[in-house]
Amino acid sequence: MSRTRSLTVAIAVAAVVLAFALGIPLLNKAVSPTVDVGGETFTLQGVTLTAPAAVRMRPGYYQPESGRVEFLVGDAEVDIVVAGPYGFDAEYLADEMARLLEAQPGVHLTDPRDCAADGVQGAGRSFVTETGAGFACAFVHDDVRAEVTATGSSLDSATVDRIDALIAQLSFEAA
Amino acid sequence: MRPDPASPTQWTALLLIGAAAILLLYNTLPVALAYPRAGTTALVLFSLFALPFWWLRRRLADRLALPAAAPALGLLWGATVAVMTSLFGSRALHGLLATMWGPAWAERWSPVLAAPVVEEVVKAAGVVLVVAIAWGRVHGVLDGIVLGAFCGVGFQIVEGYAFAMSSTVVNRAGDVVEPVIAVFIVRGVLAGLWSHAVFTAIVGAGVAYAATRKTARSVWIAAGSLAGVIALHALWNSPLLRDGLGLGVLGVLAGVMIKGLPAVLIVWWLVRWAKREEAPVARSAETA
Repeated sequence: MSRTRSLTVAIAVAAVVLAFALGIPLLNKAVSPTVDVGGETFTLQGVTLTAPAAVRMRPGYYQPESGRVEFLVGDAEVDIVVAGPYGFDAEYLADEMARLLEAQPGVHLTDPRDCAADGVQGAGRSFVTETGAGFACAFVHDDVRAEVTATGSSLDSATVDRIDALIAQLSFEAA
Repeated sequence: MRPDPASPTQWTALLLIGAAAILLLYNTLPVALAYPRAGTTALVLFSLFALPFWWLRRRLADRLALPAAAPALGLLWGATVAVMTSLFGSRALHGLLATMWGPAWAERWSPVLAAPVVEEVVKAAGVVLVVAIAWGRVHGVLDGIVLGAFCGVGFQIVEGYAFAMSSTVVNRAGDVVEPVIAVFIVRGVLAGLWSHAVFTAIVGAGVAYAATRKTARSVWIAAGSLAGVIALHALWNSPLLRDGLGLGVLGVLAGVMIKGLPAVLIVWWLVRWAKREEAPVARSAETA
């Protein structure tokens, strides 16, 4: 194969890869702006959550069948996963979440923290990353579990309060 | 297929595979370190996928002209570039579909409309790149089938491993192997035969046909093979027959067969056609 043809194939292949790996994700960010979902109710595997005011999300980040949703509270990302059945308690679940967090590069666990959903007490762990901070909360009610992971470049106390207010909306009543 | 510092295709393969391998390790290593027993089990079990295809390559050896480095490069492409590009691309397409038609619709139809397009196109791009690197060494359609199968099996190994580890993490029951074995039975035993390796083998046949015939018609056939494989992959991912029409486990198994068998039959027919139509490599060398 001639150099020119080889170069043409190389450019075409690289273009295909870059289009899918960079182009479409950038397009998605450009045309899928975050939307204010304050007041909206989300249902994940029977667990309901009504987002407080000024909570935002990207459209593709609510996956009810998978039991996942990701909100944006200020600059912080709040990832919530609900699943079941689960045979362990909240402390065990928090330790399991901590196991994976500790293995992430640059993540260090700090203090345990209190976590409270609507009528359900959870277990929590705080952590710092190379670029910011975060915390994880674990809840188990009957045999349903909910995991909340919040991360942000600067988790100031106002943002943490707003995230706690979001977590307090988690209701296991219908689960 | 000697290293050629002036070859644009070799540089492209090297840079893209290198970058994707770093991203892949960054994404998978923390989970593997957190769950070492599950991770090792998943790696061993899903690596077994490569064995039947290695055996296939040995069986067809007298009809293959591509050097062993070609399928090895295809496997690396499938395991790194194809996996990572599909991860980013499919997730972004899911987001676009959610923006256009809502989150619930996107969650149901993204695996049918987005994933097959991204995954099959990127694997096909890898096959094209390897064929370009090994230009002149492609003897016929069988070379393409084996190359495509290895590219697909690389994808399948990493995807299966990722699903198994994701299941272990989602299970939140510690470093146990049960979720890995459950995923291996479903994705490896039940769905393993008619998955990525078979899909990319069909595309590989098309690409090799175009590379050896070098006609406009053969290029259209290659493009058609890619379109066909995207359709087969979409059918496989679709919710169609997933409930087994209410006939229980047998119904679900019948659904799996109906959705997966066409791709296997196409590869079986292609292998038979190529063995009938294309001379063995040694005989062609003698007559040349």
